[in-house]
Amino acid sequence: MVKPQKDVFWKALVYTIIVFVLGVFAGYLLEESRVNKINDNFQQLLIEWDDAEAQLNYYQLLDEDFCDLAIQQNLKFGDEIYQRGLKLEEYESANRFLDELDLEKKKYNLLKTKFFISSKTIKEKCDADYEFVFYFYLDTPEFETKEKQRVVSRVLMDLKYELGDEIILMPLAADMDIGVINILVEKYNVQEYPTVIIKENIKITGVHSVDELMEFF
Amino acid sequence: MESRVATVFPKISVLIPAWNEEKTISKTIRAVLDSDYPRDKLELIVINDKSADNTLEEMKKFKDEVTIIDNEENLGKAGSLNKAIKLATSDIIAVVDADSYPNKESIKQMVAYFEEEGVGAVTSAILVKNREKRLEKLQAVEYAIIAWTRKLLQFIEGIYVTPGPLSMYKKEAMLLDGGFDTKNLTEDIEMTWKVLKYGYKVRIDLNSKVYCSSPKTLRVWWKQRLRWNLGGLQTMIKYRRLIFNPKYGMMGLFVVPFFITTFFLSLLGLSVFFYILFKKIFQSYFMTKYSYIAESSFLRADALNLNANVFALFATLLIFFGILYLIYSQKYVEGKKIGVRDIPLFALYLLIYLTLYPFVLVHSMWRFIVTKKFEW
Repeated sequence: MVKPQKDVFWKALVYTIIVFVLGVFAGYLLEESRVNKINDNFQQLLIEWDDAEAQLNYYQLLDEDFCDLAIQQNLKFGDEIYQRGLKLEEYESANRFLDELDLEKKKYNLLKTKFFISSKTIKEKCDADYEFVFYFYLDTPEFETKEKQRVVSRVLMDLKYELGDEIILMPLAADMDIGVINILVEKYNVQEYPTVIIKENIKITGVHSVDELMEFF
Repeated sequence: MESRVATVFPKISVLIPAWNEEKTISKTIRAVLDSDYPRDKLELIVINDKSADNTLEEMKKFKDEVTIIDNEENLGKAGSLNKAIKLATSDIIAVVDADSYPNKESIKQMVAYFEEEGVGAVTSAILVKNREKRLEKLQAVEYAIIAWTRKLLQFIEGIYVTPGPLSMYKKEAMLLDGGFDTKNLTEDIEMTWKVLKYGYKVRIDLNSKVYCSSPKTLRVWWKQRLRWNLGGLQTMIKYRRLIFNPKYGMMGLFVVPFFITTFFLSLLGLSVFFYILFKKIFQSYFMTKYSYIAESSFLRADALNLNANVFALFATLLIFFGILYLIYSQKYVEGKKIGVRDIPLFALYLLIYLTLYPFVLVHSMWRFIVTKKFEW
């Protein structure tokens, strides 16, 4: 009788555990480094936001001669927050173990709404000529909607490229249970996704080309 | 590479069953007769299993050197072998397929393994003879990998098949439970499982090489693999009760679970493959549809995500080790120098040939469910 080589199974078990633990550990480290990067970025962004907010408060005390500077700073911050949002999405699609990015995404969305309020204040005070483009999407959409959103997101990216500082693009995840976004969803009566709101009063649903959207400007 | 030298040369009976093998049988007999094993210790029995061609006439050319059994009715390979075993006068029996050609040294090298206590069967490195067509070359790569894998499995007493082209058995082990199972499509797998079940060891000698004819067309290849899988399924069902039974040693603890797991993992792999494939197809469909509506380009640089997820990295690592495994098997079994010229063939093997396996498996399972009687 060939005796069962029990040591083989023990060895296999130990090797498997070692490889598995190493793999999970490596994956964890990789993803944690991404989360840390996002965290660091966010902390940096928060500082920039505090600065932008302080500038806004200060400009309100000053006369309109400082409007150009305020608008410029505001647009710069808008671009920054948009670009970092894209990076966050890129990392999110690659992460498998950690769901900490959900929290980061909430923070970003919240920051975007704060930015909107400050931008709106500047626009009114300084009579700025930029327009808001809200893009309401779902963070966890079903299959077809996901692809639709991806295309709309690209179209809006192209629109931003075409119009530059004429618009402030505000992608907002509608299903993250953020109070202020819920208010905006209600205000614009958003019922299907993706929905684009141009100039705060033109509601567009479905997929449209850049040229079609350009007609509204 | 492990090599053993025989200290004694016991008498060996070599059995060659043949059915419609007029083109190859003479060469096979000649290859065995040319063996460097002492001629007086070699008994050669050839079985004509009611061939419709000139197989018998070809056999008769060697009538002074071999014993010919001419079946009155077609008994199948297993039946023919069982008939020949009864006539064999040796304690060690070698089985050679009628379209396979053992190397001169093979029998002598293999017999050395029987000096180890408890060895009931010894097999050889089965390699592809014909290598003109691409499919044949792919099978040559595959056969070398299989032989290499078998050698590794030997270290854990896990060799689960002693294939027909050239394997040797102790007669006492062969005769257990009535010899070869005539109902099984892969009598060689079944015989090996039986040998293991009764506690014998199985060995492989990679220095002993046998060259066999491999299918030349995809249709024949598919049919062959279908038979292998169906035979495997038959064997699995027959020995299912042995699973995780320590009483049967590594047979119960490794061979049966390994075999069953491999079947189900292949099916799972195929399911995952189709899930990913269809997901991608639907994604591409919707992406194309909406990109068209939006007059936006379908392919864009911003879609390129260079932040690979950890599973993708793990898969890359697996592919890397797979390639290493492939290279080592070719190097050690075939004794080949691997060069840049082999890359296209290896790529074809890894990317296309291997993906055919699960499809054959699904076909086999379907046939297994719907077919009542299995035939070669």
